[in-house]
Amino acid sequence: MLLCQQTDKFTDEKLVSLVLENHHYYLCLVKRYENKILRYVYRLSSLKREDCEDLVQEIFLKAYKNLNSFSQNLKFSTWLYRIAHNITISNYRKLQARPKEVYENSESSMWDSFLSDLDIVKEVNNQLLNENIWKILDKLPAKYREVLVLRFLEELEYKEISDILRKPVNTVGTLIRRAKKQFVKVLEKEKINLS
Amino acid sequence: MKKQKESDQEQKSVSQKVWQQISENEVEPLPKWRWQLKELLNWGMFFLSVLLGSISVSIILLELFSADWQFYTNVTNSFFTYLFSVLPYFWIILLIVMVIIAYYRFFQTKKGYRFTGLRVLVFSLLLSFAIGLFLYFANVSFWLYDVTNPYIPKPAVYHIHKYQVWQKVNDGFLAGKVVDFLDNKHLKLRDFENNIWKVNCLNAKMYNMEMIYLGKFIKILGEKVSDDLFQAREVHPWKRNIFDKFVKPSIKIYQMK
Repeated sequence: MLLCQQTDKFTDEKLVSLVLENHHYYLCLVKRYENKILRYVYRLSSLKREDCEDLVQEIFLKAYKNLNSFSQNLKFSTWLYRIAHNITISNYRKLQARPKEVYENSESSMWDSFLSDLDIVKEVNNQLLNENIWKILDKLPAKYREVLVLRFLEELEYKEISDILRKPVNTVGTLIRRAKKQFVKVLEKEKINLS
Repeated sequence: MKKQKESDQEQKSVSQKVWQQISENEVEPLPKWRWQLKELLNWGMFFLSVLLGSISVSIILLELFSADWQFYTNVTNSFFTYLFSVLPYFWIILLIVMVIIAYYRFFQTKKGYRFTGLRVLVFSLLLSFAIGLFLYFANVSFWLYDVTNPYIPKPAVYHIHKYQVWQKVNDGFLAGKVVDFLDNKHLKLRDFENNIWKVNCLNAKMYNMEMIYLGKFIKILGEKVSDDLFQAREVHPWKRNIFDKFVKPSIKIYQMK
């Protein structure tokens, strides 16, 4: 615990080089990112919390094993998101048939930029809005869902999304545009009212 | 007691669970050389594919520029029939496969994903063409052709159209392998039907080559004088480099190599 307090001011990259010398520092890296990655996995997969935690463990174990493949010209968080994304998506595809009823109880303000992007006025009933948005996201193909989550919930830049998904920045832009169109299509088809 | 232990386990944070797994199983990061080797292999495969693609391009150019476009009417009335019979399919397919492999390998490299598919495809194709053109220009494709030719499958119609044009001796076409030099004016040639011809080369113009030597395949335009004597008017190499057309025809007939 004390060890991690000492590293609070260290950059991720510095911490990675410390981990490679002394593996005890890995605990500090995990602590730094566990909530963020858990939230991301949760948003991407809509699985139960326990399932998400199992995935997060898998993610951090894989990240540890592959630590030597981390290159300093990428942000550590981006690299970690990439691993999280790969593991979550492959798991998501395996379990797609399983009914998912758990939706994140996210802050409705999180959707502000997303909804204003779609020219949709925000609902007064935040809880309903939240649930409906997750319902629509769940109906979208994984490729659209993942870009929307990364862009509007994780609030990442196109360049970071490009590095996580291993796709060119232009393709990310196209995917986001199509995902938004698809979102509106499902919204209209399912007659879900957000405004 | 067991339940208590399970409950304790559940209450542990993710970081603690991860740490426990690392410690208990003595997990270690994989060595750096594995990633470096992977990257090296990807680049190696990329360049190998481009190189094989370039070889294909150089031989495709050689085949196309060596085809007898001006004489195809000797064997067929249709230009397209002739075109499809002389296309080097093996090399075209190899080029396509190599470009796909190069494209795929490039994406597997660390930063390959940053480029759009079309850009990578065009880049690998252009690189293959540039190197292929160089190989052709430098006459390396002749050597590559000779080395690979015996092993390359070709459709039967290729042989018919390619060789039949030059089997029409009565119409003034003759081709084959130089098997002997009789004197400064005459050489001996074995055609593709294994007939031996005495060829008179006096005053014949030699195109696209500097010398004739034993074993060289040549094409001759001229006139049949008798059953085993042919009077040459023009002598061309069997395969030629398009850039040789800038070399003026020589009237020097042949030299011993």
